[in-house]
Amino acid sequence: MNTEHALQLIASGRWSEARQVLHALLVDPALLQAEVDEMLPRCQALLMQRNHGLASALVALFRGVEPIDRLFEGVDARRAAELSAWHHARTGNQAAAAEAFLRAERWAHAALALQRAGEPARAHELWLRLLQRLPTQGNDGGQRAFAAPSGVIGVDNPVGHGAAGSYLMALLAFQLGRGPGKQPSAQESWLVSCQRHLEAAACAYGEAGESERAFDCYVVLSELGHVQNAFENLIEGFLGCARVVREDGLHLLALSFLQKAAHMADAKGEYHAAATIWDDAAKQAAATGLPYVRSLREAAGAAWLACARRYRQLQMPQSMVRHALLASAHAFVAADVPARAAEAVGDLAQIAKGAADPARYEQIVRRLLAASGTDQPAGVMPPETDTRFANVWEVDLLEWDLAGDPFSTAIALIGSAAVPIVVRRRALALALLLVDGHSAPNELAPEQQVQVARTIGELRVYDALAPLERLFLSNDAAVRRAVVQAIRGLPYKRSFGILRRALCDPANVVVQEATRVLARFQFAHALAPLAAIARGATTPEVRYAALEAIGRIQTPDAFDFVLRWCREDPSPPAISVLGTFRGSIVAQLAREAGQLGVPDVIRSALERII
Amino acid sequence: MAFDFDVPAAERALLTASCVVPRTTELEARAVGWWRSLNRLGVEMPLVIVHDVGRILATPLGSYSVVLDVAGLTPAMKREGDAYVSALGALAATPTTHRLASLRLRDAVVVGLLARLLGPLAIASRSRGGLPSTDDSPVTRFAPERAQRSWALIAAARERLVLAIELLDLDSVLALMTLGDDADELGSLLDIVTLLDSPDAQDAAAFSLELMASLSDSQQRNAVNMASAGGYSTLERRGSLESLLVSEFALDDELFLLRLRDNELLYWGRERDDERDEIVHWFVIDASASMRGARGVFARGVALSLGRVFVGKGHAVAVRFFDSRLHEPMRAGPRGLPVASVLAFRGENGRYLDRCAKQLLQEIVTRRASGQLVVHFITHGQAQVDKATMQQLAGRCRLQVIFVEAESRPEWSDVAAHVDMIAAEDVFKREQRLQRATRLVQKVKLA
Repeated sequence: MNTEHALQLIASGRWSEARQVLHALLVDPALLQAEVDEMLPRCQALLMQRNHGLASALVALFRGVEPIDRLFEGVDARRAAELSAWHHARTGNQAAAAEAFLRAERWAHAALALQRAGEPARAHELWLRLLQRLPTQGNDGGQRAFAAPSGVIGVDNPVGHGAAGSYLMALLAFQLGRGPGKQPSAQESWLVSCQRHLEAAACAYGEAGESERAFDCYVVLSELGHVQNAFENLIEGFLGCARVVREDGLHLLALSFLQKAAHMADAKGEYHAAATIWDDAAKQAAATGLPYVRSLREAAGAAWLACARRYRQLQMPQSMVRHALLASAHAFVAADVPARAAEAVGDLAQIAKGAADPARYEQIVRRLLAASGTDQPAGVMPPETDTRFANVWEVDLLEWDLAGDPFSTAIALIGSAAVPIVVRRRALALALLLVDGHSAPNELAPEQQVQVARTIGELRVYDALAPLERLFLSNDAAVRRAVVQAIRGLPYKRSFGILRRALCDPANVVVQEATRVLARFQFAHALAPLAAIARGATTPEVRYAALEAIGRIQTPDAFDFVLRWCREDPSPPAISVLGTFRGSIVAQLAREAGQLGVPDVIRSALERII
Repeated sequence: MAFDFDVPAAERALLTASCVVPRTTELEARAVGWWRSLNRLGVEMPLVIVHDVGRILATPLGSYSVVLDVAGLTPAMKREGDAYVSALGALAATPTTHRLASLRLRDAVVVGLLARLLGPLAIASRSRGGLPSTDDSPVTRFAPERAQRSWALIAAARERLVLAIELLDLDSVLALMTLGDDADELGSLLDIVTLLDSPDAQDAAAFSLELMASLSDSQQRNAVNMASAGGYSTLERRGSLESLLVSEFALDDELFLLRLRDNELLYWGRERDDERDEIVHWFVIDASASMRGARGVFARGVALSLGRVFVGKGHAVAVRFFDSRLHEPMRAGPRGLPVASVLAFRGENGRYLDRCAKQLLQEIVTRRASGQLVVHFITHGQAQVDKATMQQLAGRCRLQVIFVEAESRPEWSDVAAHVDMIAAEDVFKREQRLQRATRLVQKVKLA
């Protein structure tokens, strides 16, 4: 199979076979991009000759080399508009892109393009129309773009209900509130509405175990804080993000959010808040065995010192100043930097003049300075992990706008310059599967849906989840099974939504496939959802599949979970998972657990670890 | 605090190595109680260390001596023993220790202090391979080599211990002794440990003491009662042992008994309202991350100090926190407010004010108790909630809202009977604080 073969098949009018060959070529990582680049112009011309206008236009969009409007003869008007829109968006012509998105009835895409094109008033109007046309409880509305469920809306949550509905309302209100409105009070009302819906959504998502969604809510909340210049929302957003990722075991990322929150608090003059955040960061680093405890304590000491000096400047009560100085000295001592502790105690001696016993503090300063020769080398701060996540307040609206349509999702990937070429090639392969006018998944034959699900799985990007969620609604068990297989390569928390539903599917084949996928899942940050599945499982197969996946996580937390499990249920599969843990920290924990007294069967597994 | 004498024999035997004398049965019993509480908190230390350090913190200077009085030591052991005695002496000599010892600390506070001082040592020792045995080994006789290891632990940490005690903030200890109740349960002990280890909570304690002093200045003297409820407001010739003036304990035994017989001992008297209306105060405090820093300090400080004023007036007081849900009430008991629990409470599990307001309304609607309810809602300026819910709430209680460090007030606050916008300078500057605090109390005088 090679590129010439594919071209010959197109030239001889054997489109169906040609499409299969093109698909195989595009997803083949061994095929060099140079070969693809050489094949595609000829492919595009041949497709045009053979009246495959849409396929030809897709290739043109992928290549991004020419205006593609002339290729649309015979192509469905909405599809043509959508292709045209992405072409214009890619070439930077946002005004033309907006008009094309409007023709394609991709309203959120159109509104964002209008914003980028410098037409905020029209964008505002569009957001308003979108909000007004949202079907709410008892008011279905029946609008195509809003009726179809997608990942954002959630298959079990019609718009206007539950976490997904609240989240969507929040995103729309955010767009309405941040744009330039005629009445500031109205803008403010939209932002207030956004905040209340975000709070509801974050809470509901958190309680449903969809932590990745709760995280998105906190990202938007911090952005809301930026727009309002409101410390309360900024800090709630940052600390919410830190809490969610910490609960997911992403301790370094959690520290990064705390660092960011502390810097932000400092910049806003909220010194007290900054100091407590550094304190928390140091405690978290200590609790998780991260090597940044000293540096974070030193940062806490410095923040308390800054806080105390600020309080003095503001002539706040002496007890508050003294207190901040004591906290500073304590943090510096704990960080093994007595010289800096002496600085804080020196300030204490100053404020004690004429009141308490300055001599006592001066004595402590002398002792600290005497010990300062033994200062340890400076500690290392945690690495600055990038905490700038995609603009979820836009990305999630765009995803909702596409309503889980695989063809539109593919076009969006092909048309985006920011997407890696490997993904764009796979997206082109997916789009070519769907060029015959049946892009709505439920209009395809079940075997085609199975192939579409597999191809979507090959995309290996987050964007694949919404079309898969939609395909999972199929009545055909073979399609649902294919969806479950497809999520194997999509290690996102959101994948657990499909997995959880598949594990209680009425069709046995789907449950069995989900159990197989679960047992082979390799996802380092999925302890919480896996533990929930293990605890809630009604069959031993699912229970031990989840334990097996937890065994692959290999962190101290995962070890602790399995060890506790084995104490309750020392069955051979559980003990076997326990014995797979390795690593020095886990070995230390195993040693300590062994000393506390455990049944022999657990002891032998612990000995294997040690 | 319940004492439990069921301690390992080896631990009891090790008490022979104590260097704080004289040893008495009563003090050993207290030390055993401290030791057991520390163990429950995960701080594993030899009983002899807990006894000696605890006694230095808890008993008045002059009631003990620090000496090495153990027979049968080798020269090396003697050196270690001397170093231990020297470290204990340094600890006993700090001004902070003197002030602590003069406070006649409750056992729960002693345990909290011991956990703060000895906790890091216990962790470090464990990571280095363990402490002198605290398990129930068959050794029942004094083993000098085990004593030597215990002494070495404190001798090596001498500087760190002295610094830790010197840098201890006494405000939180004072707040526990002045404002609050005792703690017998593990949960309360944990709260005390958290409080002593949290600069944030200590700030709130300091602030509540400051505010309380301002409130006392501004309050009119009420009638006095001898019941074990309400705040102390005057000195009396009759009362219960718990309200006896601390200075009376300094009398020698004979004089003390004579004064007791003649009703000459001085007791604190508690204030009492002339009209004991059935008034219930709920301090509903925002504990979301938005309250980080000075906002949280103010919210808790004001709730504790106003709460104490109302308890003194014979009103029922409860503190409730909320973040993404409304938490269980912490009620003021006969011995005062649950200070440690209020100061150590950690929320920050998201934020969902709409739900919390609905929960609050539901509870008020289904409340069985009679009497007038005053809800003091303390939150931040960005708190957004459904106005209709708050309107219903305001219809069923007197709703007073305090926005801390808020630049503007949310629209829903129009429904409240009284709204206070408090900026940092109002909170922290003495004159404004006094003015504000007085006004806050006056506003509660019901129609």
